[in-house]
Amino acid sequence: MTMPQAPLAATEPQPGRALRLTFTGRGGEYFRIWIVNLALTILTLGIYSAWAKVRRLQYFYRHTSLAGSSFEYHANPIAILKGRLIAVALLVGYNFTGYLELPLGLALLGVLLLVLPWMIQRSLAFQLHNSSWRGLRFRFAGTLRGAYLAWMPALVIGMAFAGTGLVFAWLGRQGPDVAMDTIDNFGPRTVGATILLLIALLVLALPFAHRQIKNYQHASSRLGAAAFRFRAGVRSFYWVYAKGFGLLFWIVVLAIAPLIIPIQEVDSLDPEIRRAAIEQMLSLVMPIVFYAGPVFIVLPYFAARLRNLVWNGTSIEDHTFVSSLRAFGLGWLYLTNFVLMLLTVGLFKPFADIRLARYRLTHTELLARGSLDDFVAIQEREVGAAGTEVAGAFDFDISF
Amino acid sequence: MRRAPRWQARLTSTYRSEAVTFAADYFDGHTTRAHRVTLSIDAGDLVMVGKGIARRESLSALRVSEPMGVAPRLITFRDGTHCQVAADALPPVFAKTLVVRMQESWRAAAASVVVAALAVVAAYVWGLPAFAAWIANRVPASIQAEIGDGTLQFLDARVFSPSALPATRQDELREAFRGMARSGNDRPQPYRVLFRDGGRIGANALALPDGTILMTDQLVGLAKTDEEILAVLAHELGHLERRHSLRMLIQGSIVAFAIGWYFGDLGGLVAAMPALMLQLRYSRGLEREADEFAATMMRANGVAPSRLADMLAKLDAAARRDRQEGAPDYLATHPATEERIRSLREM
Repeated sequence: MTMPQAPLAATEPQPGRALRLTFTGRGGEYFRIWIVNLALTILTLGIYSAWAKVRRLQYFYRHTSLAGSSFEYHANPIAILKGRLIAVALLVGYNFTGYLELPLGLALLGVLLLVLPWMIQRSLAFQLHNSSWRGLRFRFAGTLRGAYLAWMPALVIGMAFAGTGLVFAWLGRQGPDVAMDTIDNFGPRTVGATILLLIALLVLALPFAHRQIKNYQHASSRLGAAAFRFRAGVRSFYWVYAKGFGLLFWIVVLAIAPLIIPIQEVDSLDPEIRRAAIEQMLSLVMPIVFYAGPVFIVLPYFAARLRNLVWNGTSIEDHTFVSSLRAFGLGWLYLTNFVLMLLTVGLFKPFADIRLARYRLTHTELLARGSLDDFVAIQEREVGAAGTEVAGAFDFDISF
Repeated sequence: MRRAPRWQARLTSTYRSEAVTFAADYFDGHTTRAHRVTLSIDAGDLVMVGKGIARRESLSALRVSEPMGVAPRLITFRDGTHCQVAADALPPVFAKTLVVRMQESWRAAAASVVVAALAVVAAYVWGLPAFAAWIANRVPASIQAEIGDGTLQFLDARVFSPSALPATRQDELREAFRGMARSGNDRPQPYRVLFRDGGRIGANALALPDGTILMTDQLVGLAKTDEEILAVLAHELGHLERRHSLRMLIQGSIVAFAIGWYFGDLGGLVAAMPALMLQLRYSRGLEREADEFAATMMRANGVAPSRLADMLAKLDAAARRDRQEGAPDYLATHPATEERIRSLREM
């Protein structure tokens, strides 16, 4: 007879206690799952990818626990496979028409953008309905109308940017003459001012659009009968974005500043040499300004601060979340992950995923006020029936 | 209609009906309250005993989650309720599926690395170019003309000056090339030949996607015979015929997309650098293809393909004289010219 092991610790929290999310995933373990997933996906020409996704999410879910109990992922791989086949068909169709007839391709892109909120709502519902904690399924109560309202600002911004880009590209192709004529017609100052105004308007609308999306996502989520609430206001989003763009501005300035002085000196030299010198300096600056700076400093800043903002403003019943990601911690992770992935020709990716997940999860806490035992399921004929009716996920990986 | 999940609680073949007992947390699916229970396996059944709980289910009506590191194991009943068992608390009496055994074996992992690496290399070297060529060949010539960007206008404004070659000389060359292109050309593509003073670019020729072939006066000056000039024109026409710019566009965007997706967590910007380096490798293969096209066309017209090799040698020598220091070789877009010269002499 085998000896009984210690019982699983399903702890009861004291009132007002901070419960850290724990993550027990390990890189070496996950690497084997990941690489076998990859090989089987290749050998089955992608069919296995649905099972691979389920395994991957189960690994991360089951190694994440709150108050001693882990999460669980229930999705049926067949449903995911159906969704993926539809997505592939759409992608192929779009690419074909895009090359053969430009207007048709653009129209199809427009249609795809219009159904995007619907696809996102379905994805969120699928993801949440197939997730559970302590036997209770999560739910997504967001309506289709809510999805469109929440995503419309972001879509408008996206289409405006794309539209402006297309106009510039078209102008560029017409040749410098047409561009000059256009500018002459409206006056260079007007054109410049319009462009600046457009950019400023779009940038100013970004924080608002982001907040709408997160509000929809979090405020529509449920655990059983309990609803999540979202309290972060629009002003806090603007504040984070302002600081982020300020950081970007200073990086650009600091990268270019050391070059201002040498350029003054170079002014007196022969024009050919001056041009070559400037090109040399630019080739040093460009990678820093447009690549390393934004990716390893500004991006993690936005990621960490926005994620903190979103989760600090999320609560369920009397319990609130506390997110304490640090911008530099995250940036360091991004940098080391990137370097190691390059050095290992990409094989480091599963380790990188684990590191990121561990960082995010261990910097998230639930401030529990009261017992966590009292969440109840909604009235259902059969426990666990809810999620599987939402078949055919367009499985966008909506990461938390 | 919900499809019933496959129930997987199979005992290992080495299980010999010894009694096993272990602790678990039971969740009834109505609240998040955990109920401490003791589970035991007895004669093909699972017995669950706890405070106010007594339940007996046949193992064939249960599902046991696969082992996954230190994650808790889940034993799920048909009604959706389940027990969570600590990974080290569950006795190893349940059989493992093939995939699980693969995931736990380092040998299977090594084999998987090999499979993945071979697949990626095969896709990059062979699959992607074939795919891009297939798509590019299906694009009508009218669409390819659309892809013509403002390159000509840009070059005319910034780099080139009007050609110093007399118009008669230009027309002479155009006529000669038109005659050559009539034979030895499988699928005639609309094109036009323009001459320019190359400015600081010097001796060069390029083919623009919309069918324009540009040649600089300096290149004409370098050539000793007309055959050498026609050889270069044939090479440029090869780029057009084979839709190289379109293929590069397709391949480049797929590579950039794949890398951006793979490095996903770190942002699409990260994709730019590695993607660029991979794209450069493609241009060498395309140059070779253009060389082969030119060689075929020249042979069909009774011109020795080595003329192109002679011209390349002259161009290389001229470029060496003007080359600026600083550009690392492996980033150069000009493929190993010596290799090309050698192949052309052998053709």
